[in-house]
Amino acid sequence: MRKTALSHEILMTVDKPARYIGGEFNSVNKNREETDIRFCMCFPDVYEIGMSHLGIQILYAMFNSFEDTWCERVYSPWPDLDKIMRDKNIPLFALESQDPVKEFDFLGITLQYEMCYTNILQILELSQIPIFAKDRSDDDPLVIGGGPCSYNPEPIADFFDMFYIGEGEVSYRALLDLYKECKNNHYSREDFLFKASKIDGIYVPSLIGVEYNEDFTIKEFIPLKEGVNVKVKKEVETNLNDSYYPVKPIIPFIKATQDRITLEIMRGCPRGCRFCQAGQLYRPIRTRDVEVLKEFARQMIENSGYEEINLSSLSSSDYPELKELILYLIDYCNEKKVNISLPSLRIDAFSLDVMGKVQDIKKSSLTFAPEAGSQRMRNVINKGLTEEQILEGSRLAFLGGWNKVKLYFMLGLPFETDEDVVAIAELCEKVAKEYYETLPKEQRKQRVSITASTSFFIPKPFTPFQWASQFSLEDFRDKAYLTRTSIMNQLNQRSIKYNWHDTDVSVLEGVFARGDRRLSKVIYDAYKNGAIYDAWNDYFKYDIWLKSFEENNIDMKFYTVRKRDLDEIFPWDFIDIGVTKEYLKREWLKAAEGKTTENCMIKCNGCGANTYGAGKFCFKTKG
Amino acid sequence: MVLRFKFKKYGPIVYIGHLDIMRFFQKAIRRSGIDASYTEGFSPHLKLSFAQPLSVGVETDGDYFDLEMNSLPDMETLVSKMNEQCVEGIEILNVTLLDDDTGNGMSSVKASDYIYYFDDISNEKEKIEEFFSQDSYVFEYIRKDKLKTKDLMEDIYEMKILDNERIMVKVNASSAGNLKADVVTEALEKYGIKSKCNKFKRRDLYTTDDSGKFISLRDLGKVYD
Ligand code: SF4
Repeated sequence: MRKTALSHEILMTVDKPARYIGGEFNSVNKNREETDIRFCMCFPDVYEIGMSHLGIQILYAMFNSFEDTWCERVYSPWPDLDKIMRDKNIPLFALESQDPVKEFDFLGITLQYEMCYTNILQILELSQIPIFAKDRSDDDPLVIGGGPCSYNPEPIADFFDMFYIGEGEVSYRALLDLYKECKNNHYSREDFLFKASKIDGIYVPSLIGVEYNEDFTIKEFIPLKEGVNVKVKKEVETNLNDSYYPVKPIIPFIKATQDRITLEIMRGCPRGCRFCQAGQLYRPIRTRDVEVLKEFARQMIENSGYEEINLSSLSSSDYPELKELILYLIDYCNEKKVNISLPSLRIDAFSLDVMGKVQDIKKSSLTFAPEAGSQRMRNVINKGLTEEQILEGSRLAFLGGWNKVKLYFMLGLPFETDEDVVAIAELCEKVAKEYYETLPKEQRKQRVSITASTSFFIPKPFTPFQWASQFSLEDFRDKAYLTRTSIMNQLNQRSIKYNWHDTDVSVLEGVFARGDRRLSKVIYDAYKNGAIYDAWNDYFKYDIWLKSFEENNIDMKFYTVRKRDLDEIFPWDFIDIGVTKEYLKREWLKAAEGKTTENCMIKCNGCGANTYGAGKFCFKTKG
Repeated sequence: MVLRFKFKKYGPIVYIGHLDIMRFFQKAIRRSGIDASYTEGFSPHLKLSFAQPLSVGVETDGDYFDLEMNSLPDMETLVSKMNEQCVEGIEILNVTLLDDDTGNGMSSVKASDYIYYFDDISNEKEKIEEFFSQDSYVFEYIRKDKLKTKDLMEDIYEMKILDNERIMVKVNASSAGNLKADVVTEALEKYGIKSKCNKFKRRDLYTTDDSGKFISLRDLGKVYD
């Protein structure tokens, strides 16, 4: 019978013990004697969040398809268990075997958002693995990071032995083979890391040094060992049709945040919005064939028993065979009693027809993400959504029976003025007016309901806005206040609801997004002073962070509001994502002039990502 | 057409709460591909009902759920087919094709058998017999910060000493008067039983027939193993 690392008494005391017992349907158990490599995959947040992540399921499926490897999972223990584990000195364990993580060969940590950084330290400490990579011995697992935040790994570089930059499907096999070879030949950790750094996509922080200028901007990256390359190139899966896909996903007992099948239809985005990091990181744009997707959908519905399926991509409307896929899914899912949760689609006759088929019009709402209120600002950010499109889409939807509209905006975009902020309120008002003009009184069953939500813009590495100054906390609050008062000044203000979230965390997120290695110590101190689960409002303690920055003599403004020179070397510049810095610079200068750039479906703008030899639109011959 | 599934639950699975066990079976049923009935509307649901929830941490050899069917699958292979969709620690034991006149099964639950495991009761058997043979035993205990008073003997129907470690007790499990299994261990301790009760598990659930006789929920139709 399966064992549990935690005793009956502990499991009966903690909240949701199912987080810690493993044994879920489709989870993989192997005989540890018959495998050479034990890999523990970690999402540094609570189980329900971590289990919702597609990337881990992909890598889990891939690793476990290797006969010599057993991949297991671990998530952040909730604070109630955290305390018990510390009091009783219980080492953190993997879910499948319930064995201590410290006995594994690898601990892979996915970095999905900056605010999980203290949770990484919790994982390491509870696992009884030295927090700083330099303190680890040959017996400790190799700690490897991946995922979106690994594109600027510098703030957490000191905690990792290596990072995998890019899509995991490509180089892991080579890394594991090298590991086996080194293990058989009794190579040291250091030797292994040096050899590993030769594999594409592998970044070993201990082998690349950083020299700073007097003002703490970066002077240069220097190899710390002969033969080390100071450029790390992102890895890209060029063919999504025969890449690993978790057609037998692990089914959690407790409800995960994403309690549904995720069908990834493409990677990358042809649109080129200038604020969006994912849009650049995942270039070139690659699609999965529609027949492959149909087959995946069928298998996953059969193998999971989920009641809902969800399409995932950065911009589903741009998937070439979307219509065929959705019409097929509607039929198949209807037969199998599975709901389709639609991605946000461009609103037109087709999408409204589909929405009407799969959801209750009275309860559902239509969603637009103009991101900015004024056309001028939308040109700056290169968001190709016009006011006419929004109003026309709304009109069609109102005629079709919808009366709820959700609009998403960002505040604090570069070059934003008060007029641009006020324009958010005006756009909401225009949508409300459209309702009253479209529908005669007797057809209006309910009042129109408009929800405007704003988030604060945070400049991210590898975007044209990586040069932008982030607005200060005070500016953010003023902008949110201005948005609110402008909405209240509108004629239909009673139909418009405004949501915004608090700002402290945005400042910190901005610091880490464009941070450098000097921050590792700040993160460590904050963690030691009690910072944990920073992504959770109830746990986020800004004071601890302020104190930690102060004690380390580091000014957050250096990372956020500071103006950056066009030629500044950024902490992440040693990473090559295909998209060139030259291209990003061009885009930044165009943004300043309010000039737009056409999307990849219309015209290639020479971003550089076609060096991977793949890409739906990159090699299109001109018609 | 209603199928009644009897299942057992053991090992780490006992830490999964009742609602999550329900969700587990919903998915298992969907995966198995059997032709169950669904509700109408935008998000169709299985017509599934469960017997008296068991507390988290407790094993069972006899829990049930009822499932309404559109058409019947091959009954001979159904149990093994369902078990392919289960995990270690959850096992379908048998399935009953309920007789048409069986009312809403789950509200008809009247009693539950529990087996209590002790260190060693060889010296205390008489005292245990004595406890259970009382006509009345008014017991005060605290649950969820509330003081409760109950005459336990009204809700205890039967007791059998199985061997030197185990006793079996049949208690009220109706929705009106469900007696939680751990109240019994608490009462025994208070009564002066020295041997420690290490765990207990549910063995089976019962309803009553016209004459008031207890019959297992399983036995209300044709049973397939
Ligand atoms: S190379 Fe051209 S088409 Fe390809 S992603 Fe870059 S801009 Fe788009």
